[in-house]
Amino acid sequence: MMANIENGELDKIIHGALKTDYNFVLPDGLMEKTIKKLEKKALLRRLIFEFCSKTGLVLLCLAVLAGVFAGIKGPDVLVQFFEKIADHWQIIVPAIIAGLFTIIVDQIALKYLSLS
Amino acid sequence: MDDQTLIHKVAEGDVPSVRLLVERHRNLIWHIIVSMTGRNKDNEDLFQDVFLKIFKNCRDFRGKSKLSTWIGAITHHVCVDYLRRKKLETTLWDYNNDLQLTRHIQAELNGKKAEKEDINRLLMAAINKLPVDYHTVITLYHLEEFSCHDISEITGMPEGTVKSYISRGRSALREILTALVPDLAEILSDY
Repeated sequence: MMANIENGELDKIIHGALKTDYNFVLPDGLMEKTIKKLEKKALLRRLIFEFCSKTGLVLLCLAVLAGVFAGIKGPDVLVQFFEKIADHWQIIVPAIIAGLFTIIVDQIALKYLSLS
Repeated sequence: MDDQTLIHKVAEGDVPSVRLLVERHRNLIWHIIVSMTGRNKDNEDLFQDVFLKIFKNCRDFRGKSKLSTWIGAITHHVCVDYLRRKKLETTLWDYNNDLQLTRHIQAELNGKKAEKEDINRLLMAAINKLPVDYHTVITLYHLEEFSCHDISEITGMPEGTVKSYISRGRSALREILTALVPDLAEILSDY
């Protein structure tokens, strides 16, 4: 009798047993907790990507501009430019760091923390 | 949204896609975790670890297999690591000699006519006593309805081994039912 139980029938019973087992039910709130965690990671990844893209674009524009200047006025203009930067690095370096810090806080940290 | 687009958007950090990914695959991941580690206080952490790993590695998904298979394989890997770390590997369960289980089930039925719920509990007790690999294969095959080929990709076992586990698992469960539920034919008509 039961030893003759068909595989198909047995599979149906096993499926039913597994489906109704409470251990297989996802605990309440776990999905939302996981989504929140992943959303924060996803947002951080997107913000960093956007920041790097924008920074890259600005640097590219500066490089093109420098190329155009060098093309018009000769390569000496770039040498003079870098000499001026080297002469005033005590002002330029902190200004760049302060600028980058402000942009990172504004574009990444504040947006990221607002989701927390 | 198809799987390839979904995972691509997740890789870009698209927040709604992340939610969709979790909603689509939460049950698969939870089922694999439960089948491999049982009722465990660390299951919720494992669940989150799996999703973090998927998120971290989603650029590696090339679409050669189904997304669910790829996710299943990651989940399996995370659970194997966990079991190894905790040294929770179980030994092969000999269902014929497991008197404790049989006594427990017989005591539960205690001469009364078995009902559908009894069959379910009985089967789950039997399935839960199976070794981890059997439990995982049975869950993937019967609950998630994966093919033997997909299960082989998820678990890294040869397809022949998967087929053999399914067949031996069936035999074990069939014998338990045969021994303990004399009125199964009647109950089967309800399914």
